[in-house]
Amino acid sequence: MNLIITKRCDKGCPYCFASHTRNISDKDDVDMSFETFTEMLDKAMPNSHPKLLGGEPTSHPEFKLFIDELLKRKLNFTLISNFLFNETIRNIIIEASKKVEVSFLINSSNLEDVKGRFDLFANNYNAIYEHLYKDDKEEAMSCGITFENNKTSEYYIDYMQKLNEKLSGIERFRISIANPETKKEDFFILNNKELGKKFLTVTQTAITLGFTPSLDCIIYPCMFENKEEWKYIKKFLAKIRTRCEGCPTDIFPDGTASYCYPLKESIKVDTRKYKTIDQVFDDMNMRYRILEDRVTHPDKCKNCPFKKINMCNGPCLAFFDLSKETLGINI
Amino acid sequence: MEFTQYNLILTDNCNLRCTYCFDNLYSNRDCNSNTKIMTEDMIPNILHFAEQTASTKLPITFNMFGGEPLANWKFFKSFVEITNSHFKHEHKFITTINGTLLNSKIIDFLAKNKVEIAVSLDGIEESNKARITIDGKPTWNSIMQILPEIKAKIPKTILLMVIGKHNYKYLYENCKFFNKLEFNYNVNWNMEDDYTKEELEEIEKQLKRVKEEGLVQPNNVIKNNNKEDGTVCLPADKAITIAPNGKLYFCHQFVPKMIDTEDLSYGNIKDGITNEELYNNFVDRTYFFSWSKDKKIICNSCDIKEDCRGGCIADQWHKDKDFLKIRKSVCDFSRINFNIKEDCK
Repeated sequence: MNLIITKRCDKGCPYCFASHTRNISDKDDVDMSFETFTEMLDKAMPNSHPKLLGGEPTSHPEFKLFIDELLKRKLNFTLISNFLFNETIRNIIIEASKKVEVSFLINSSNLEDVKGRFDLFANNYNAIYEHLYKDDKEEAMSCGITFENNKTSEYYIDYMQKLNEKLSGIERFRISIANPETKKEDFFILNNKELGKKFLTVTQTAITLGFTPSLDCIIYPCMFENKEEWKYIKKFLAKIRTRCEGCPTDIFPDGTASYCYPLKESIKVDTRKYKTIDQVFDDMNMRYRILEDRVTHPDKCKNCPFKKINMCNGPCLAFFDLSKETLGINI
Repeated sequence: MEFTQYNLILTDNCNLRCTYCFDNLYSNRDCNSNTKIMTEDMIPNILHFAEQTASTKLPITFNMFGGEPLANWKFFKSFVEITNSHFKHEHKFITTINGTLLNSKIIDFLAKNKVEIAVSLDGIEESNKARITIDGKPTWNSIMQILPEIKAKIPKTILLMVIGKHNYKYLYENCKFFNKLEFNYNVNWNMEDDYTKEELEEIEKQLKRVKEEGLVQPNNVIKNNNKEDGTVCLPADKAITIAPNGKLYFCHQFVPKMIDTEDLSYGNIKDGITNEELYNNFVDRTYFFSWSKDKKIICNSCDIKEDCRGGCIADQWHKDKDFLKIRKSVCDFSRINFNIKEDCK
């Protein structure tokens, strides 16, 4: 269960899959209310492990109240953050991590775009890292980058080296592809050898620097030049997935839930109509399946050897036009 | 075994939340029950089980059921294709769907493979208001849009109308409407036990009006019951239901979907029927006439017992956890059916 506790974020990464939530107005539910937050926790399994994200979750005006509630319930949680917060927030996080297990998925991209940003990031990162290190928990931190089309493999090698120099230690390193924002049916990932090359280079660089590389979301085997490259990626990139394996369940501040951020309104339900988050999860998985069985896969996927052996199921639904006009159904 | 019908529960979920649905306790649905969805790797085992247990004399039917079967279209399509190319026994496919997930591609596939379909529609728009999406939106318009294409490509399609306390007032209007659409149709009575005498009289009056005006009547209201069939459904030694996890049940209503539901499975597709005692109990119970004599239940003294088959056993089970009790609603609606039939004579 991913709780989008606020839409606020000042970082403005160019690839952000939540950029449509940046144009917020007064009318919008910008911040999740505490009531909605506790309602979601009540609906989740008692031993659930919520992920807090945004926007930037630490930007929520009542961030401390939310963390206190998690501590009261003794719930371990994951914080998905850009680590560009102030010292007060940093201390709240450190204190929380003394009481429950806190994992961190840290957006580490685009830190050079604004002056002083890299230093602020590094200060926060290092303070939390060093605190966790004392308790042998530093592996709970994972840095992450998302590939942008206009940046080369060489850029990412330099960038990773810089991260390595500035940060006390990087244990895990997540890599992801930017999802299509507005342009549908542009299956840029298919047979995109350049993108495959970036994956390969970044994976190799991460290993050289002593990070454990892992995949965020899914990857497409046709991106790689040959079998040996694909074998390397499968061997050294952790959490390899070539098809969507289940609903991430992104819950928005207003209590509606989307299958995942990139799918936006295409698969969205109102969690208040359900007794449990499991049921929300189940229904959104059903909707995903319905749509997945009805989209027409691009010609490039026809006769694909990976599809034939069921290793890949074509592009994720976020790439498709899922409108009623195209699919003939409206779910 | 000599089964003639295999009911396949392709998924226990549905994209609608019809307020009267027998599965409608969705809010209590146990999402961790591991009974959610059939996967293609089950097909060889299902067909093997069917080969071992199918009637040697009669053709068999694969009933693609749910939840909403089209919510698992991938399995649906693969099962029809693989069965047609590999299963030697004479067979056909039927399915009951809510219609909202049909598109031209799917209709073409169903037509090409001669899949007989029944689409749930409760008549005119006002009467259909209980059929809503998960988000509470009405579905009537989307069904009406697709009906002409269904009629053109699969002319024998049946419409299924549920009549309950919420819409019995529209019964006559609905029959007229279906006649206008030129579809055959069935009525499923929503078995609530608190119909008043006046309400039951109104239902009977409306059905008589349908007859008097020479409208085509619902198939299952005036049709004579085939007593050899036992209960309202095929008996347990003729039909068997396969749950998404491969377990065997009498019918879909016994597949546990709710938290704490008792599991009345009597086997699985790999090992066949493993609980013979439970299976035999179902067989006995579903041959209502012989069973009711043995049990000396109230029906033995009923004047219409020859025209009544004792109602749906799943309905009874879910209501009272007791196969011996016959629900009041069963008696009420059997009486209406009897009166209508008497009128037809």
